[in-house]
Amino acid sequence: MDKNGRLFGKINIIDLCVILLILALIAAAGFRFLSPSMARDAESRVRYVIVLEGVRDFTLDYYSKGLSVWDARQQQHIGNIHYFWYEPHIDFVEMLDGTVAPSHPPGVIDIFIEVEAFARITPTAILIGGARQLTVGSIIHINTRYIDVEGIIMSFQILD
Amino acid sequence: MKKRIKFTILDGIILLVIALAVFAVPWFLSSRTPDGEPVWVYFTFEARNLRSSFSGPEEGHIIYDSVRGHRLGEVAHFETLPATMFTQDLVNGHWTEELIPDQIDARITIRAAAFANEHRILIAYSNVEIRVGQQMYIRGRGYAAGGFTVALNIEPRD
Repeated sequence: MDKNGRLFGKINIIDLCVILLILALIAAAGFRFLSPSMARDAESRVRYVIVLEGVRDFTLDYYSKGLSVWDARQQQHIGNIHYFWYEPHIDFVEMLDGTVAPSHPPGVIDIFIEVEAFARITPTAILIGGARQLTVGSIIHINTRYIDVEGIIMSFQILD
Repeated sequence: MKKRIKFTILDGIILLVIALAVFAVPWFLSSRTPDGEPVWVYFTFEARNLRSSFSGPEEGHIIYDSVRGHRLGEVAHFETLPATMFTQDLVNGHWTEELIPDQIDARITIRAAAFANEHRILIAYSNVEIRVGQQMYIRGRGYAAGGFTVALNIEPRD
């Protein structure tokens, strides 16, 4: 760097930082918008279960088989509902005698939705909707036509 | 003497940013263009644990998103219910529903022209997506509240 702050006497370091920033933004945009879609790179069918814990029971009316499921953050299609069911939500309560007892809060359930999708299977990840990793235990924010909800991926199986 | 136009690297960067913006804006707008079948959407917004002095809207009032200012629709129905909470009986392990003094729950059913496709229901004049479970902040003439969408119904619109 010369005495004027220019690398190799030619480019100002501030200009260089701005160029690098713009190149990084272009690369991020390219990755975001040019990622392969689910339809283009379909390799295997998978089924995965998302549990929606502690939701109000009337929301069950808005689920149906065949409904499209979307990743709310990436706005990518991540499958269709193959099956769904519910169970009463369980909270553990510390009783006055010091014991812990399970209890079922009224009007609150856990909804389980089994989603079928096409996934791209790589040596290090299973990808649905192009770039969304299918990992048990991860939180996923999903949309359908009628519902906006956050759940946890509980299990998955590769069908073919 | 003819003045030579200087074009520096900074000018190039500025032009590049402008070019990106020119292409990005139409893309961004097109991704929110309403598509799908025209419908009337009736969605119910619920705000819980409001003071009992909350007066709320009347039918026909216009409701807006209080964060972005988008028009959401007009009030089709408004009702208030006593606010309740479920408390735990720590002796028997049972749940009981108890009234909360001086508090109410408000439910506002809003009607809006919308477009519905496989993925979303989009309010026609504001490009706001409506879904059950979605958190919303609304305002109207003399009131504002935060809550969630708890019900949704669509009807065909000519």
